[in-house]
Amino acid sequence: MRLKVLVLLGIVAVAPSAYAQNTPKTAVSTNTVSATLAVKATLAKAVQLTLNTGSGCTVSNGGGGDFSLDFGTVDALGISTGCAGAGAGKFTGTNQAIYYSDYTITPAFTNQGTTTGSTLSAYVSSAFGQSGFSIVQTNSAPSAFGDFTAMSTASGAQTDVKGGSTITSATALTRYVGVKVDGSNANAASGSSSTAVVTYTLTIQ
Amino acid sequence: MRIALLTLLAVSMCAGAASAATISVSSLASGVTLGGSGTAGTMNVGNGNGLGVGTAATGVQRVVLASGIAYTSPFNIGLSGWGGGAAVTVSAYVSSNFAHGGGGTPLMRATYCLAADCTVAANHQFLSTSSAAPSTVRTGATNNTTFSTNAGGLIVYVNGGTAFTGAETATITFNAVDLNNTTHTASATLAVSTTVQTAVQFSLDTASGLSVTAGSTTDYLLDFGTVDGLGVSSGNGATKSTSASGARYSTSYLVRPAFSSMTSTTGTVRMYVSSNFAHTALLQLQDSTTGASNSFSAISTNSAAASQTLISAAAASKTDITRYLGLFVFAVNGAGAFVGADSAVVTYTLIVP
Repeated sequence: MRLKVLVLLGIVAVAPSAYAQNTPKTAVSTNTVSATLAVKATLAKAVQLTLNTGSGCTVSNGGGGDFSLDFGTVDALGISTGCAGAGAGKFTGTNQAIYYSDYTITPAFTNQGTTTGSTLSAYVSSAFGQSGFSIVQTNSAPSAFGDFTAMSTASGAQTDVKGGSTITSATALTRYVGVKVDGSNANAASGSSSTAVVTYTLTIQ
Repeated sequence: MRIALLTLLAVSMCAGAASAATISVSSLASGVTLGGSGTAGTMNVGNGNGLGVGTAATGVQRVVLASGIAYTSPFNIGLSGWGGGAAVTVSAYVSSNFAHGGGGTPLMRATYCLAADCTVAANHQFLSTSSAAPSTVRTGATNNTTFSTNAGGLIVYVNGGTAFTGAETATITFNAVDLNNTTHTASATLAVSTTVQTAVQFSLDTASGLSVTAGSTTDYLLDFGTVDGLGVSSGNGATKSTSASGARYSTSYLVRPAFSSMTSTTGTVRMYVSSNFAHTALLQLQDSTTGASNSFSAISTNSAAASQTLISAAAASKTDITRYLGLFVFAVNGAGAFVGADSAVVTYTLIVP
């Protein structure tokens, strides 16, 4: 029994594991060794479009689309407050009201052959389910009810959001979007909410 | 007078049998060619080092043990002249140790392997250095037996003040005794020699980020995949950060220096971009010690040692360094835009003073 114990003690310990996974570069009888690393990448074009809060209603991520803007409670007489903020407001017409807000839209692009974008457009891809509600917009600061125009609901004939601006990468544009409430239509009962979706498209050519 | 004659004859027969018993060492085809004689052989296992790198001499089995590398070779032990009823025990001990084989932590050790497969590290044991308590090599061997065994020298992995290089030789003495007639004994020696060299080793490996693999035209390869100046593309899953000027794709990786028999316990690791991207206005390689987005700086493109990017001036052997490689993609439009593949080469150098 004693002999067995001695033999076990004499066994050379095994190396716990291989040291390197990749094959090492080695050299002997010297004090220096070099290795080379190739770094590869494939450059791609990229485009990006971001909506953000201006000085009016809050633009948030998500909420049924990539971004969301909530006007809150509105009515055709313009009595309700809508959303707060210096960039938000309301105009009234005959039995109609427009609740609006500014927002920023920031196009960005890289590795494109041009330094300026070509088109920036939008359309209502999903209209309000409630009759009498519609999306309106303007590319410049509104001062009256009539400054707003209806946003297109046709993907093939979208509303121009670029306007007279130059589309420069990473340069925000301020635009205005509103909800027009037409009191001449039979609206749903007070308190119910409704949502529309506007799709923006940036094209760099 | 007649009685006395018979007694003398009997003594003479016993003496004749004892003198004929021999043990000898000889070469095995798969091992190192032994020099010397059968009773005083020599085995040169050639150059060796504590990392086990470089090319081993012909016939040498290089086995990685926990404390270093064993350079060993198989050889034959032959027994003859022991008589028909012999049961021979062969033992061995280091009768003359390596120059660096003494002390409490020997830097050279004589080893032996009795198993059939001596490529297995666990089958190697250290030979006794005591003649009073030798290592048993074989028991119950009969006359005219030839068996193969394995012996060699362990070069302990060491750096610092005790590190050494140069020729080392140890002599192993094999003693044979017939347990059925313990007056029958024989001995042979085998001098095992090696030349200890310095060794350096360097590798790059995957940490927790992108895979570092073997390269085709370089030693290693790191592929960021598809990238862009906005950080929209995935970059093969690299960490992304963006700024007004572009996007950085970054990943951790392991820098693994190792060296042995060096008087210094630390070395210096540097790197530089030895072959830059074709589109340097769009792509730049960066380095960071922490990976924090504000900690990256461009890797030097200057090959002069003093101008290269320093990874560590005190890199310890067999101690991984986690480093971060960044690929900054400038957000460029217009005439300078480029879509497609590009590559660069970074050269790393380990120097141990």
